[in-house]
Amino acid sequence: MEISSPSTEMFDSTARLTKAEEYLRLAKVDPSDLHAETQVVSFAAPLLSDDYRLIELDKHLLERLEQGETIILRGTENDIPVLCTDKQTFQVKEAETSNALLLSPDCHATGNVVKEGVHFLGACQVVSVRSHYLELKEVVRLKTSRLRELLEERPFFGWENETDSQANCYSIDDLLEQVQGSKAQLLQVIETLPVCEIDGKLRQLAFEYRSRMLADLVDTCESGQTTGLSEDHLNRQAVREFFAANKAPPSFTDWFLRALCTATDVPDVLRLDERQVCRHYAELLLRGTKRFNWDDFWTAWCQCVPVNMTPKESFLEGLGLIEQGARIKTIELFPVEDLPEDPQERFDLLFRRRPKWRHADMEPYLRDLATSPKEIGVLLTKFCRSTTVGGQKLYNSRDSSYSA
Amino acid sequence: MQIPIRMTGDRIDEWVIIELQGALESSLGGDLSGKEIGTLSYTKEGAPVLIVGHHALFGKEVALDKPLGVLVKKQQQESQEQCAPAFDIVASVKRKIVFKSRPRPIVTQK
Repeated sequence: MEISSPSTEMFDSTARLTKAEEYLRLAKVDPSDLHAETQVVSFAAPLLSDDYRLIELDKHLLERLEQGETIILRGTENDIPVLCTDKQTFQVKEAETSNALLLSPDCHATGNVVKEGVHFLGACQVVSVRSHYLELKEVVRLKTSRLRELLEERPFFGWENETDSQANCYSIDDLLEQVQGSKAQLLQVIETLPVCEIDGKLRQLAFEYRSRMLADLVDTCESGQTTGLSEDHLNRQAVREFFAANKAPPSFTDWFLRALCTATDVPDVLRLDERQVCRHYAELLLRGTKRFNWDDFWTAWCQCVPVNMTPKESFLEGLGLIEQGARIKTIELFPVEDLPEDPQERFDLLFRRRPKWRHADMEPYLRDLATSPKEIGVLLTKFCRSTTVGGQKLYNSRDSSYSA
Repeated sequence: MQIPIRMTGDRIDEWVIIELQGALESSLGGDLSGKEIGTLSYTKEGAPVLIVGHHALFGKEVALDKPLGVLVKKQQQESQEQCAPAFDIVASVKRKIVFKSRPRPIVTQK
């Protein structure tokens, strides 16, 4: 489209309106059918299109901005940026339209155009012409690999291994500088990790440290000499005092109660969570030996858990992979936390590890990628083929090179 | 890196987008600054009509499913050596006037 009127042309408003109405008539529009105001639309001078950027929001985000809240664009140079409120995360993508979007601060839309009265000529300005805008897509499930990498830089092994330096230790604000997610979502992920706040920094608790503390508590429980401390009766305050006496950071108790204990009917009384504690000991065994003969593993496992606990095979899901060979059954450490977060990469790795999977075996390795069992079904349909062998449904890769 | 987006004043103005098919060019070439685009009128039914040069465009006004925010990069303060980047949200756009149909040429009687 071409703009023919030169900008310098001075015009008398009445004459200009007459000319506009003449053109409208020629375009088969009867001026008497129009609202009173006709606006002359011009570009601003200077036209600084690039000073403005458009971002697609939703009503909720806009409301928060209107209430004066700050939202944050976040990311390192190599990442696609994300947009965060304190609770939500959105992926930001640049979208392009083949149309010209003319931005006008003072153009009257039908809502505020002057409708009644003598026809007159108003004016409005276009301050920017854009054909790009930023599009947002909400991220429901945060990618956690970067977060875990940062937290693994310097685990907490106990005070005796601490130095004065806080290098490679991160506070929540430090993490927010580097991890793409909202504060609330990030804290939610951290809740699920063996992490606690020590001197203002979020520190991963080394597995060895957790093992030592758990073993000390279990020993004390089994000796039965401390009031308020037995495996199925852990008084919250007694646990706090026990770990304080063992020089654990105060927040360690919070982690311990959250991760390894479960509530009882009595307020402020918890008990050791059988599943979590047994899992911990299984991991301890599996970390030490690469691959175990199942019977040896089972014997060792039953021996090392607290006396009143009984290991179950189902406790091992997402932690140890059990292989039933022709002659022997083995188990080896294969934690879901170490698998890639990208679904395609996850499936590739799973099928490299084992060409055919039963649903029950595979499901624990997919649970963290989905928000519902239905979503797991969607993933299986998208990334796997299934065959039924002897009445048993087995999943294998869509890529035939894995089935060899 | 964290780049904050917030409003600076006490409210976010509402702006309007006029959406045209294709790109705009000036018959005189060069910069569009200060140039007139055309006239915008509304019929009593609320249908927008835009006359651009010798063309008539018939459009419609639509509410956006998702509002747009208009961001302006915050002016760097010279006194501070390294001023962190930030954006102001100066306006929102909730409605646009869309001209999708091909421009209809206006035949002038000479």
